[in-house]
Amino acid sequence: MVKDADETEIESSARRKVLKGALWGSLAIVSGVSLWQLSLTESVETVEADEYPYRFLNMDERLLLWAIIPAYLYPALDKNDEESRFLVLRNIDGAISGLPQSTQDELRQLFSLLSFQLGKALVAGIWTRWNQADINSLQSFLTAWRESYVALLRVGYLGLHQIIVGSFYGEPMSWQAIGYPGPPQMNLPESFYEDF
Amino acid sequence: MKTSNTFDAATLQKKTLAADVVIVGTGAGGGVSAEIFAEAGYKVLLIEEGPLKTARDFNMREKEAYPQLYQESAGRKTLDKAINILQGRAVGGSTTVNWTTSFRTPEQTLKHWQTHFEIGGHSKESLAPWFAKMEQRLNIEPWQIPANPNNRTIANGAEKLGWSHATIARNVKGCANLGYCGLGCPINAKQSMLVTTIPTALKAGARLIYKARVERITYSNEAVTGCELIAMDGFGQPITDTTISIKAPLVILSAGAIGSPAVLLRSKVPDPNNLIGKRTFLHPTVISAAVMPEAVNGYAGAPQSIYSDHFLWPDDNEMGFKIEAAPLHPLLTSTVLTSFGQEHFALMQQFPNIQGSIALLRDGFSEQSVGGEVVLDDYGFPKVKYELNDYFWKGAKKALLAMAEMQFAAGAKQVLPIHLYATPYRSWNEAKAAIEQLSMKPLEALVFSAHVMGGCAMGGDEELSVVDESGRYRHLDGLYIFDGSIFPTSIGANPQLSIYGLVAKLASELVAGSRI
Repeated sequence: MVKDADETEIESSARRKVLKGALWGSLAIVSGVSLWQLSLTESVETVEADEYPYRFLNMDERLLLWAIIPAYLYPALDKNDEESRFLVLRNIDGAISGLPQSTQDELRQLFSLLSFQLGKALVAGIWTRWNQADINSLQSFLTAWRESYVALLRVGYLGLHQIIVGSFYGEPMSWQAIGYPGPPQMNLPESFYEDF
Repeated sequence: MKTSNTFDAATLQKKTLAADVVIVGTGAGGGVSAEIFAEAGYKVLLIEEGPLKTARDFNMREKEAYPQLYQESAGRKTLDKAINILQGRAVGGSTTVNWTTSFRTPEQTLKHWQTHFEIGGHSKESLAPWFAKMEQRLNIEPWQIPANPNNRTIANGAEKLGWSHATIARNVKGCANLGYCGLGCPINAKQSMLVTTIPTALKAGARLIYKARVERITYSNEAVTGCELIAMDGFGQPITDTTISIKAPLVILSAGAIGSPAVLLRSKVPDPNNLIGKRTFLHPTVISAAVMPEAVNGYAGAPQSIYSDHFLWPDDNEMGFKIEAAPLHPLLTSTVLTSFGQEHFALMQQFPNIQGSIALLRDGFSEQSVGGEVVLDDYGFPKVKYELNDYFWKGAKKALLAMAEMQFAAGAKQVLPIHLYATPYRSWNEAKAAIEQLSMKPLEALVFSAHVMGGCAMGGDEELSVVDESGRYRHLDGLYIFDGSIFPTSIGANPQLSIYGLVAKLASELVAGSRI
């Protein structure tokens, strides 16, 4: 069963604090789930400082998505554009909130699997430290999921793809670059609606 | 819309209500039934799982429309995630968000039902007056304005190749050719249930409870007694402490091909032959995107106005398909193009020039195409199991080849079949060679559906059907199913008019044969 949101929040916050001060090597095996986030240190403060009332995404998942969003969307999304990245994050939260409970449970598992996989990649030195240059490493990781023989990994790739790119291209900030003028302005008088 | 007769379930004060007939669902089946029963003097209560949104709310923004107006934020999927299902969830059901495409049920389909399912009462001739009635009611006629470039590509390609093609009939009145039908019509031009039958029913005294899910139909001594509802919040999640009981001697189930079996399964109604939820059909659909030399602007203009049935009824036993266009809006388009990063952005930058063709495969007509199954998850929520087998994939590959050939014939510079491992191809020869090599597997070739059908099949044989020809549930008195779930196969065409016509006939016959 899914844990109470507050409880999870406290636990993961405590875990991050422990991890930040701990030796990587020994913890890597036991706590792969969150270890990779250590490499996000530059971003952690930004994401943690965000006070938006997320309905679904917990702090661990927000940090995970914060790293993964540019991997799907760069160069459509400027890597330094934090405002847009937050907008995408909030849209993802809203989209997931409208999904049935069993799908939400599956997404929780997917995020957990993704954290674990990225944690392992970090430990194995496939990529070393999250910074701007590491988009390539994360994109290699996405390619591996996309081309995997394992259907579950392709499900993960496509599921994340749908919520991440959809959360970006639903926003007017993405439209100019793709030549979409946006929907027409109607400006109908109130009387129009009253007739129905 | 007479809003004094509409209620948000969460704010309803009374927790027990009564009616002559309760209609579960407000889409094509529920909307048509509501008008017929209300005008015949029945005390009608309509129940809708989704919200009540009207033209005033329809701002043509995908970001808002998908979560508000579609099942599962337009991300409903089969259990294995291999098929993405677009289905409406709002007052008016899918008719509020469909692309207005209207076809009568093909004669081949009705003949197949007669031969294979002992359905003698619904022939081309006996349905004709009902189709004519609904065509008049909903202003359905062939689209008069020239097709937009997205649809014209299909006409041009088919023309070059000598394939049959024709103009689509649409249910619109005063249409401004905006192209945003899928996000709710902002000017009430689309003659959906939301602006036609439902307002008429409300005016005749019907009441509507929205944001309410029917948890179960209640029954005793082999007859229905009503149903129980649970209120839904703004995110479509159940509010578990808000339940409402309805007493009614007649229940009409019109919750669609996923919702209707789900209600029956939750209700644990007698089902001696274990048929509820079986034979679910989806018109599984594959997509081919083309980059055209000129701007297509696939978001503008009537979404579907040209079709080709050249491959719909092949002489062999293979799965036939119907070719149509899909409107292109940025959010949905971005999710369908499965690459990421630079490759994805490069395609999105060509957005105005992208043409979208779709092929809807006609499932359920062969012993090799038995459809899917609606099951309940641990939360009592419906899930569709649907196996995409080799028989389907053979037809799907043929469809991807046909669309690529058609798009190049129409002048496409590049064609991209929607498949995880396809890349844009620059000529028909290159595309043909590549598509023939593509592996056709779930979650490699992407499959979509916008048409849910079956799951409560009608038929003449009691052992093999959930309802009889009149839509009467075989094992409970007072329960009728009037929606696309009673089709024993897929339709082989966009199903809305098939539902309107058949339900108009069934509901009128039921009203004529009973007394209140």
